[in-house]
Amino acid sequence: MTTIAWLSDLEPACQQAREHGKLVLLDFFSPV
Amino acid sequence: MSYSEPAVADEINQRFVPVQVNVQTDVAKPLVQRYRQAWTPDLRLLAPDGFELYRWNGYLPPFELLPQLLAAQAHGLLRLDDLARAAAVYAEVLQRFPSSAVAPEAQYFLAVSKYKASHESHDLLGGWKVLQARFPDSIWRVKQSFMEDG
Repeated sequence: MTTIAWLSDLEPACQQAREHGKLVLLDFFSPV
Repeated sequence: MSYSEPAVADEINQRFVPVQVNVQTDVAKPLVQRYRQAWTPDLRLLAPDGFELYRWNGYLPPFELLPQLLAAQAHGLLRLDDLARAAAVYAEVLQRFPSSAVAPEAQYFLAVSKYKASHESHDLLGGWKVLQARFPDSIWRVKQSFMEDG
């Protein structure tokens, strides 16, 4: 089953986004 | 939960670099403050420099989350002046999810993206005519109603 490859830190995500020409999707969540 | 839906996970992995932050943890505080985060769920689309391009609050089921994700990507591309890719993704929203909640917004900004690329008035007005015809009760129809006859 496909799962989302969530990162937990913004800076590495921004670096990846730069390298791959993507945008960052930032999800603020609160466990229920 | 919509994230466990394989179609949603695939789209997120393919289109974005996803980051998830639990706002109840101490490590989240700098990001909560930086982005003035107030209520969850809260999703932001960011440029690679961290600049916020688009945002929305609230849970969406998979059949609305998928088109919202695509529309968010299209908005981000539009704001980054990547007009051809923005238009392509707006068109994809309309083709794959024609009855979704974001479809009228996608039609509005599809016309905007095409017009900004071509500077041809028919690209804007023609796209908005489609909006008038297909989504007459939408707020996005109202937002271009100053162009309508009468």
